[in-house]
Amino acid sequence: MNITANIKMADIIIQNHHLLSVINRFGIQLGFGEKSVDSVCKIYNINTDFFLDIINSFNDPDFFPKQKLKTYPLNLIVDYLYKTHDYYLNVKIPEINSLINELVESSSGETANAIKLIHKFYNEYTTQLHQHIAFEEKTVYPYILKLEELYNEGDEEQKKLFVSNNKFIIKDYAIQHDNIEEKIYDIKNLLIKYISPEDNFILCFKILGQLAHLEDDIKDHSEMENKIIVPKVSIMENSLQNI
Amino acid sequence: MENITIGILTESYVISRGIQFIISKNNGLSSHIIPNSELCIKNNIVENNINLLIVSDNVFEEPKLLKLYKTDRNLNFGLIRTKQVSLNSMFEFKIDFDLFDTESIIKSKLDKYLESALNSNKLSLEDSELSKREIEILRLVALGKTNQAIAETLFISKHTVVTHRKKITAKLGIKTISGLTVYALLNSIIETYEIDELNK
Repeated sequence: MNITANIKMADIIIQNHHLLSVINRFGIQLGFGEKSVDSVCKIYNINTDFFLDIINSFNDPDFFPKQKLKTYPLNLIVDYLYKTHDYYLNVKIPEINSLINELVESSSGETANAIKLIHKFYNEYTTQLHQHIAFEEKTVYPYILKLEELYNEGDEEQKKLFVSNNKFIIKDYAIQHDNIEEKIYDIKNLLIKYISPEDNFILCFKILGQLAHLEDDIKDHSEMENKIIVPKVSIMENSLQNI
Repeated sequence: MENITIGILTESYVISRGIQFIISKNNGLSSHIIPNSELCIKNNIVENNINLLIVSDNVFEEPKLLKLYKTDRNLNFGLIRTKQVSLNSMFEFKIDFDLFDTESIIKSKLDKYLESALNSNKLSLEDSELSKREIEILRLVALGKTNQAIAETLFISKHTVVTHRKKITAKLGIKTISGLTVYALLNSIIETYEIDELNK
């Protein structure tokens, strides 16, 4: 189903509760009554088209309007990416961590040892994710925002100065932007294939569900960066360098 | 244990018999002495279902043995050091005896080999479809070795290492080195202390 502006906001959440995490990062609170998507977006001062493209790409894995997404200002996309970072670091990662902790504590013998290994692997992954996010927030995003600002409003002198003072180019980031979700895939796989916590399989299912959710989310996030941001920034960089 | 047969090939019948005597004390292990005059070692190995060949260092340095080492991937090698020269450390021996080892040391080295051989057999037959070679490569990957280092250790090309790694990932569904390390630990392909030593 393609979500449109006049559908009730409540209905899209009832139909797919995973979308709760998306409306949450746009700052939308529950209790929207019978209001449509468009009305809710207006209340929260959100670009409805952008919201629809994001929510549809979460709702339908095949939906990714590359060309249309490229038409949005970068600051809008970057602002959204900041919010997804916040969601990963402050909601999802701690949530899964405490579930794995619970699993370690309720297991014994060999299973407990195996889950401890998974926990260590998970911690290693979260450290990597923290570093990755810190790099984006301290270096990449501020660079993009400044570049866009100058591209739109800067005079020739400012643009020249920016190009000569900046050693960073988006291509460097694209190269080192490895598949951050691969480790989650591995953790899931190890849990499914090689660990059998017979006594607490429900908890294990819960962890797997959460990991899959995070994995999908991060995939969408990376796609947005690789297919929208990187090409768009490259065009701006070229234009500035050719002055 | 019944599926492990040890072949013994030295220049000295006395040494070969001595090793065979100690092996025979280990229940269920069969061994077979290959005469040094044997021209076609390969046939002898196949006919006797030998999967571990214990060779003395002088014999190992002969071209026919070096060739066998490089070409027969299913055969494990053990070494008996009879002279005070060191072989190229690139060679990998599953057991490393010294001519002057006591009986108890020889026995403990044999036991250690058997334990790891049985574990790896169990793994390849029951728990996964990894071949012995793939397990060997997985072990080195899990210990943090680069493709280049693995290629040098196993005398294969870097390209072959990459092919094996792709197969390992396809079979296990594990893509990252950390994931493979956890798998290797879970299946006793490596032990925790080996990782700890690396981190020292």
